[in-house]
Amino acid sequence: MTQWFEQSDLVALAEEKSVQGRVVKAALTRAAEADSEQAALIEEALQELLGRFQGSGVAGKS
Amino acid sequence: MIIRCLEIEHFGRFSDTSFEFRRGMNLVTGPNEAGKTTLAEAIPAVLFGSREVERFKPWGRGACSARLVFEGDKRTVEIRRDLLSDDVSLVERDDLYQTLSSFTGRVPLRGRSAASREYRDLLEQLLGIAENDLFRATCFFGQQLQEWTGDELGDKLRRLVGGREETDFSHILDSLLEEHFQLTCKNPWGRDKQKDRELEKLRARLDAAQPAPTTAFTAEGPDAAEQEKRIRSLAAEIEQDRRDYVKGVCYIDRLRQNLQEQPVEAQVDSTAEREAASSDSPTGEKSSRDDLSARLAAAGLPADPPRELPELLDQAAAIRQELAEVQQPLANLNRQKQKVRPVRWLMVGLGTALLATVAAAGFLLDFHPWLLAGFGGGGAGILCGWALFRHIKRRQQLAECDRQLSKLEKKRAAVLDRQNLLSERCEVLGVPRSAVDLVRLQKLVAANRELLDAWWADAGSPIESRPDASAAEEPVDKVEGEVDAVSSGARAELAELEKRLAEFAAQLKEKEAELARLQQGQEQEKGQTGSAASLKKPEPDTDLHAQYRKLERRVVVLRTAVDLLVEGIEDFRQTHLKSLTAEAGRLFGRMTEGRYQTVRLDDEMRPEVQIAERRWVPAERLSRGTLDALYLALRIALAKVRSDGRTLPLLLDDPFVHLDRSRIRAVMKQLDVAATGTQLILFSHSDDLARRAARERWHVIALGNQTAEVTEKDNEHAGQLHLL
Repeated sequence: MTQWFEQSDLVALAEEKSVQGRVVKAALTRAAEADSEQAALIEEALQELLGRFQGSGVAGKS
Repeated sequence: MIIRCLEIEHFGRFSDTSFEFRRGMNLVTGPNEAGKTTLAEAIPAVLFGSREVERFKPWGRGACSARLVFEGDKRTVEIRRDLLSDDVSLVERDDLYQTLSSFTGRVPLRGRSAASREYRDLLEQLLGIAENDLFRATCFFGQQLQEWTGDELGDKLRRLVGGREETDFSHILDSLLEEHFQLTCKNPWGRDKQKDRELEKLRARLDAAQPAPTTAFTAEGPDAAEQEKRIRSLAAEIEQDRRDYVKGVCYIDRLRQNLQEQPVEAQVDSTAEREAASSDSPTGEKSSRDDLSARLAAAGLPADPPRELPELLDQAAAIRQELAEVQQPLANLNRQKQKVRPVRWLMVGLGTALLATVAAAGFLLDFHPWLLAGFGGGGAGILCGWALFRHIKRRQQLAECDRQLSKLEKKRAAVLDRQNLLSERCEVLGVPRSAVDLVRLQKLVAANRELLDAWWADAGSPIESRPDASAAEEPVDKVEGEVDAVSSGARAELAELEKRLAEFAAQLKEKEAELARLQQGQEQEKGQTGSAASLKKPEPDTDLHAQYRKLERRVVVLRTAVDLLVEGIEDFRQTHLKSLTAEAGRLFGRMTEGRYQTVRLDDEMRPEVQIAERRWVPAERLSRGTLDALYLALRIALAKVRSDGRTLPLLLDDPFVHLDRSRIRAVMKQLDVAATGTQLILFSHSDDLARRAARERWHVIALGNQTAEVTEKDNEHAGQLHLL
């Protein structure tokens, strides 16, 4: 798992019961079990998703 | 929100009538045809319109309209609809009677106009439900089967449970999938797309530019060096063997010529002769020889054409001609042989038996016995004789065919022997062996004969002095005939030499095959190593590779993003659905007095009930009474777990008609509990319920005979009679 996943706001987001929280939680779970290359891919995928959440204005909704 | 008031101007049997409702339990009671169902239907009709307007349109009246007032959260929402024209007016006011929002427009039941959308958005905002089917699936329970079916309704119900968030994220999911399928046609979640996308097109371009390595890399390091060493030594060995073979052929040719008592002075090795000629040539002639060589190459001829070339080509043409002459009659004979059909002995036997039967029948029936016997015997004799004749003739024909075939085969074998010999000579002299190449070469030689003559003259050996090599290629039978004439010792020596030369030639061929194999393997390995190196080294198509890798990574990232989002949405959905099914299961268990405890919903919100451990049955398999209890439990549970926290009235039109007494008691208990947090409006003709309503202080509206309890519009406060 890369350091990016250990950010406090990301960990806090994973605790939320919203779709966004569930997605972050799923990504953290996957990254914990992945090797460094896969973890980098998961990180990139999650960044892509978070960007889209923000872009569509649904981020933070629960 | 609760329904505070329903004012009917003209609807069904009601005209200028007003009904008021209260929070908690409301009972609308009355005998059959008192108008309970009409009243129940009037509520969704005002909200969304009705497809049964004709049913509710008062007879002889030109109008059909009603007004509905919702109250709650310190505001009122007043909706009026003309059911004939679908003209709707909506006004939202606060508790100070200030207008918060309003709408006026035409909104048919399935209208898709801007006005319809505006009205539905407002309704969604105010009540949380803006569609007729969703209202009926959640807030209305009639006498028909109240199923939750269909993808669309399932989605709406899920949205009601999970909120709009699920829908919002579905849009993001759609956009991710759209981008993914713009990049690749590969679909890890289903069937691949048919048309190639950007990634596949780029892959095809890369493949066209440089094929991808297919096998593992080998022949590196010491193995490759050893292989190279083996190839070199084998090539040197083959070169030496070829020289030896040429010498052997020439020696045998000379020996044959000696045997034929032909002059042998000219029997010299052509190669040595050419070498000698070239070494004896003055240096001043070298440039003209180079010029000739260049012209030969330009003409498509070998760089160093042997002197025997024209003769070889003539012989090759003659051999081809002879082969063609032999092949044709061979094919004809084979066809002729196949046409010779055998005698059908079975038919002959049957015919003979038939004739014998005729003869026997004549004796048995005493009907011209001798005549029939003669006929039968004669006929059988003729038939057998004919068959025997045919059989003998066939054998003769086959024997003649075989004789001719044998003769032709021998001739063909002799020609093929000569062809093989010629091929070997061609190989020795460095001339192509295949028939096509020889024909092409023959044309080139004929066209450039002067050039070739100049080349050979330049080599210093007059063409006229060349030995008559054709002696070696004389037809085998002719050679054999001539060889018979010489002494047996020389003949034996020649035979022995030919045999040894043939063995030598076979060994040479094996070595050449091995060399070709080794060289091919080396080339493949070089190609693979080159491919691998080119992938690593910066090449002109590096940009293409980089682009491909970038796209490939993007596709993987998008796939991972899709998987993560689907997982998140599913997790979110399951959490909310779990709360709904848990609540519905609890209520259903109480309504069925513990018989069923657990309910679950599939993707289309179709309910299943657990009947035993790990045994689930679809809802439609339950009895009608149990099914009614289940759907009622689901509606009450949904009202409780709605994501927006809004509560709407639950309209129950005779919900107990399929329930037995004990179930009614159990269901009523749950309804009592549910009514504490919201508004329930029961429409029933049951006297028991009327008594219970009186006992429990429900708000009661009596219809039919008790019309006194229904008031006129102008006197709206006098229109309610509490049975207490």
